Amino acid sequence: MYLKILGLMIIFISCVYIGKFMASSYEKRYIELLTFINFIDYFETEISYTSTPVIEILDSLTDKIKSPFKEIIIGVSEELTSYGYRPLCTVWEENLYNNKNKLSLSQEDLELLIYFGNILGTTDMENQKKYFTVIKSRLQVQLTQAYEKKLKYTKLFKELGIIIGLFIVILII
Amino acid sequence: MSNQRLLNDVHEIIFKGMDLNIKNILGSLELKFLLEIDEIRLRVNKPLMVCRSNEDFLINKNGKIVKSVDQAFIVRECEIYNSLQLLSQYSLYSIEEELSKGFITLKGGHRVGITGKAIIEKGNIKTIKYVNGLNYRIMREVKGCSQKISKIIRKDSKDLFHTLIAGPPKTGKTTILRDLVRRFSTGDEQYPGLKIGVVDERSEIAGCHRGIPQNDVGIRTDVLDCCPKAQGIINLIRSMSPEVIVTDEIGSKEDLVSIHEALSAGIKIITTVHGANIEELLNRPYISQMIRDRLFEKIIFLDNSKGVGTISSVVDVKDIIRIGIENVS
Repeated sequence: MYLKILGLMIIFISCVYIGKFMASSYEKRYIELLTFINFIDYFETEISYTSTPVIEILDSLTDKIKSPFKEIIIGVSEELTSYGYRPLCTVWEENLYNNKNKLSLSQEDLELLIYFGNILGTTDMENQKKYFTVIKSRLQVQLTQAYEKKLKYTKLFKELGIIIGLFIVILII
Repeated sequence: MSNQRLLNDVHEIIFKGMDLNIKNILGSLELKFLLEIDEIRLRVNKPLMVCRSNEDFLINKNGKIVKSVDQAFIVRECEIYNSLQLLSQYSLYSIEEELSKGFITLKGGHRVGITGKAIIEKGNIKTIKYVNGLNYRIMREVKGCSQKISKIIRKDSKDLFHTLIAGPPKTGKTTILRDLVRRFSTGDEQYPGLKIGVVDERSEIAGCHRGIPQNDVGIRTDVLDCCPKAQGIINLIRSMSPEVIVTDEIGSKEDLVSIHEALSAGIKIITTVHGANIEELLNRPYISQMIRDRLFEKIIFLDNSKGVGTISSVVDVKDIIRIGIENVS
């Protein structure tokens, strides 16, 4: 009897957890997009006011940014500093794909992040700012979409987890 | 400059600002030859070229000197682009000012000249787009090369003559000027050091990298890097109380005005100018005016007749004035 109750509890908790896990990816996507918009703002400030080179900005960001972007930035910064012969865009894209599993971003979001790496440091200050504005406005669209999905699906998956858990438990009883 | 330091500079500074392909090719050059190179030239769709003592050599993909263009390694646009990315530390926006001047000064005082499509704004070069050529100029300090000239410039133990060092390009004017700065600034047992202000418009004298002189310019030298000469001379007079002001390649109307200002403040001037002989100098309106105004006491002409930096003649300006400028030529 006790074993049966324990088994049912495990099934119920697992369903709730799966529901929460699926809901969290929508929350994470929203937070990651927001973090990346702030990341671009930081770049824009450093470039506009002090013309700080990309490597120095990346170095200064490692303490300020959280995982999974932290790993990406450290990876890019280390490779550029130590080897320094490969184009920044290639190193950036590689590091993004290496850490893709840790990110909850959609393919469209990822393409915007790759585009950021493609233009970073390749033009004069004026054009860097223009590129940043374009990328930020496109990210803002993605962010609005991510927020709407977050509101819609977070609650749905959490409740779905509980309902399915209860349904299975009732079926077994 | 020792060979070891030069080799270290080539690997750690010059090669690090170069596309990997080009770096590997040049890295295969014979060590002795590599240490004698003055310039490395990359031009889009043109052969990879290095210069040694005014002679250029074509290099093939294995790092060997070849005579025919067909055998030489042809530099591609992507290699120039990658090199520029590395030189700017992947941040073209951070070298906008350098691009507008057409060169980047690297650590160690080495320089990279840049050519491409100039973007003009309000009559001045704003930046260079579509870069088509890079010229890596390897800087060598030649300590002691100003020994002869310094004796000509010294009036007595504490005073110098206002001096103009003239010569065609590549006759060692700037190298000698740099050593003069070091010598006069540091001083020795016989001659006390002098406070020297250097207005280094093209970063050629002190070779500043991020504002810090990379060349030995002595212990009493204040350097205004990348500053227009005329403005820099006035600023130094007002703020640093120099005994001597040193600058490179004068010739504009503004230079004339600021040198007048320096002289009225009792400061000695040592500077350089392009010109092989007195006739050539007198043909340049503002230089001619400076000579007529007796802004300089000595004009020292350099050539390459017995090696770089040979003193071909020394002219006393008062002698020219005495015989009449019109009779000089």
